[in-house]
Amino acid sequence: MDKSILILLSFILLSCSSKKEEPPKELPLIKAELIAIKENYIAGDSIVLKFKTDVAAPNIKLHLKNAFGTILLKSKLSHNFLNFYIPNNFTRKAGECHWKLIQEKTTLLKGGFSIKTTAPKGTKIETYFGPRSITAGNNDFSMLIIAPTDIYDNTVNPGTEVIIKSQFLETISELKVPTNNLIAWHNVRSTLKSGRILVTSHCNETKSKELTTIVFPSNATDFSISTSSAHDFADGNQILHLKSDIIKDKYNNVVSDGTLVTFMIKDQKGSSLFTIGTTLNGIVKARTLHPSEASNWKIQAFITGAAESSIIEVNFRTAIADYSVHFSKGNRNIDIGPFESFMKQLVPDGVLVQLDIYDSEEKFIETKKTTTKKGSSTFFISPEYLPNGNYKLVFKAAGITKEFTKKIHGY
Amino acid sequence: MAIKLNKTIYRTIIIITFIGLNALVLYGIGAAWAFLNTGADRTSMLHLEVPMDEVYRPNLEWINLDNPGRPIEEQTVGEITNDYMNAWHVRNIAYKKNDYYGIEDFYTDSARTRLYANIDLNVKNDNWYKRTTLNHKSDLDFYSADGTMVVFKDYNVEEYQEIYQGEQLLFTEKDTTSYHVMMLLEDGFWRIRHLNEIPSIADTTKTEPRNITKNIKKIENLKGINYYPKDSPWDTFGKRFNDTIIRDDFKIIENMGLNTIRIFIQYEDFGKSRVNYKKINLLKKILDAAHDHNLDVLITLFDFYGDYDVSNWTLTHRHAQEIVNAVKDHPALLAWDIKNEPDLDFNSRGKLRVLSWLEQMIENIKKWDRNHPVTIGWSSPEAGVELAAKVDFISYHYYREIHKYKEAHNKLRSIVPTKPKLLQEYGMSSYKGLWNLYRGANEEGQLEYYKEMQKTLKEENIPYMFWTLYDFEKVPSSVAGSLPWKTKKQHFFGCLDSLGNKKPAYYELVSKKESNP
Repeated sequence: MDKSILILLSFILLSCSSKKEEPPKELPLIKAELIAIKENYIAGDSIVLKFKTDVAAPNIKLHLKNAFGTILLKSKLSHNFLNFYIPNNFTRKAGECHWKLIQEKTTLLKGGFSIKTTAPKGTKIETYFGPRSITAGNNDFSMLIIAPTDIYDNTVNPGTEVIIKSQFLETISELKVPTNNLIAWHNVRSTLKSGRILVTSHCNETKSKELTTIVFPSNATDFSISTSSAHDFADGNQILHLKSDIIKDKYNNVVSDGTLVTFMIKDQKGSSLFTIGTTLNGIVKARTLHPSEASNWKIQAFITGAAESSIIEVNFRTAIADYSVHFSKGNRNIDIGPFESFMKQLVPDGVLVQLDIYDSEEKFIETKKTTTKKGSSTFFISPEYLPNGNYKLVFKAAGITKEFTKKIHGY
Repeated sequence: MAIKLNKTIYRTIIIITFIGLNALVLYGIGAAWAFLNTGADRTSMLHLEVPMDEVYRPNLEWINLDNPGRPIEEQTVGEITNDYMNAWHVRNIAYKKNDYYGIEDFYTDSARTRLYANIDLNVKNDNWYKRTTLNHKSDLDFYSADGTMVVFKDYNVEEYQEIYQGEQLLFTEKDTTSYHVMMLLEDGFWRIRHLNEIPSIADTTKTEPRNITKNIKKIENLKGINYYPKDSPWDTFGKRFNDTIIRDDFKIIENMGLNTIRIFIQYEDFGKSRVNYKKINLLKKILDAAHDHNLDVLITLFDFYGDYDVSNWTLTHRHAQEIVNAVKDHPALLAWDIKNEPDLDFNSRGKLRVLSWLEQMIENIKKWDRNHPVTIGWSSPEAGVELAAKVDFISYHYYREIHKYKEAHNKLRSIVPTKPKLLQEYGMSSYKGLWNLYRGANEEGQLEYYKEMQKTLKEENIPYMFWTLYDFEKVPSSVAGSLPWKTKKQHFFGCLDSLGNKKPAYYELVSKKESNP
């Protein structure tokens, strides 16, 4: 029992002791001398740093630093020589490499060596080309950047020559650009003609793959349009075809397929209609319905922000000369029609008929709308809605207005 | 008997098994429940960039943005700077933890293999590094037309690293290296493609010469006080900040014939690496008030800061930089005290680490403010020898036996004869009560203490700052803990009591006019 208390007590006492900083051991510093080093190495060479020391010292380390980081190497000891084998990832990185010889916490010696790129062993090429689509003309360009490296991914020496070739139609051009700031670069200027420019580059006999930039036509220039139709009657049924000539940019390239064109139509009342189409081989086609009353249309096409067409005028003759209105059932049932077109044929379904109702004091009450079916149309004015009395009824259809004052009664 | 014992054993086994099974089932259900409630945060789908501002903020300056490729946009400069800093940060962290984490976000395939190879070697050798970079000066060489490649030089990168073997810090290294960098924009990240070392350029920026003689002269004749407001000790810039009270206090101090106050800026209170401008305004108010009452101000930075870790150096730099730049031209500013009693952290944080932090902070503050001296408020005269060559004057505190004071001071003077030595804190609590078993000094004892101390100081012509103006009713637990026998003393160091009445010692601390012509 006493023993266990003693043990417990000693544990408590032990756990109470604070960790004191140990005074650094004064080890005699060894004398070391660098005996084998070259000023310059080639990336990939095996590098061994050899030091000669006055005593055989086991606990000596070599601290190495390059652009990518630091490591601490243990030595291979043989008698009074210290050999440090520099690992691959340091020997393969071109550039400066700094070392420090460390005993415990003291730097004994320090120095550095530089590693050169190993261009003769082979070159790798990275190319960056962009933007990959440009517009024809004198303003735009694609930039070709070549970043050649040696086989260990070290950037080649500044001033290394890179040959750039580019092809457009029949011309193939070639130029030499030296690397600077890790890269060689060249602006491939746009051409006046649309098409594809192919580029390639090579450096130290290593070829890059083929790279392409597409020269798209530049902005469209002004163009003209035309219309065609089966007849010029305003029957609300036929289709009016709108068509442009071949739209080109200022360098005579046909604009890209799919260029959006908006046709704006203004009639004699100032109302606007529009229809759109996209180009194919430079030609845009669009269509719209004939009006259902005599009209005078002014049509112009636009490519937003780029070009516009000439204005053309289209006239439509009236197709419906007149129509009759027939009242029945206490003037509550109104039959309008038949509507006859330019050859006395019944008009196609869907001609708009509008009825405006005013009371006896000319006060507007309501507008009713319907469309023709089989050449005619019908309104029924129900008594729940409109009480008996005198009303002015105004009919509008096919541009013809008819006015009646009727006493609506009964039913 | 045996059967009965057996029965008991069986019973016990059955009951324990039952309880055990139940526990297992409950644990199983709990684990399943916990599993179903975990999972990736939905926002992680957006791949939002993690803001890295608060972990690593070295000073980066673009000295040139002209380049033959394409004019660079401000937005892109910001993105490149950010990701370049991130690249350094993840690399520092990777070398600290010997872990690949984060590398692939900021290094391209070919570049990251080099880092991985280094990390693997370090794991094998059981080495790791705490690294940080302090300054970058970047010079743009090339920005590609399609905006996906940039080449720049990063000149004179100040790197600091601590090299560890296992748990042991082997040595520290500070060097300046310049780099040639190529970065590519991939998946929305600017990633380092090439990183080459290049020769550094001579720093041609002209620095104005330091001019601190006037303030050093002032320090030699310093008579001062460590100041906290009565109702908000250790929290000068808190919610209870009231400049009317502070002005009244300064009037008292001025009337006592003193010429300097020492105030404390807390690291967290001032907003860490992003200094709160409201706090700066309060600081300026205090300086204005001091100036109106002919008092100089010694500002102690980094109060309540205890982490000297290399990884956070850049954050403390930005903190100090903003404060120093904000008030360095104020006429009331006397000097900068970098840290209060950092030697007390030597044991817990490691002496080397604390000293390294202090050393580079001294250098920085000297760089940012060319006209004010820099010091460190050591807790004892013995610690005053540390970094004595770096500070402009030596400050130390003394709360020990009065008769040993002169000896301690003279010892310091013999080691560091040239620089002024300021007794930055001393004093005596007038608490004598239950908690110190009636062993302390009462108000008379305090008077005796100051009588003798002031005599010595006058004889030896030592500049001094005593602790403090008021007795404090409340002392935060972060100062002296919450144990009454430790903290009680802290309440009674004033020369005025907590109601503002003059204690006997007050009259001793009033500086006689004839000694202050």
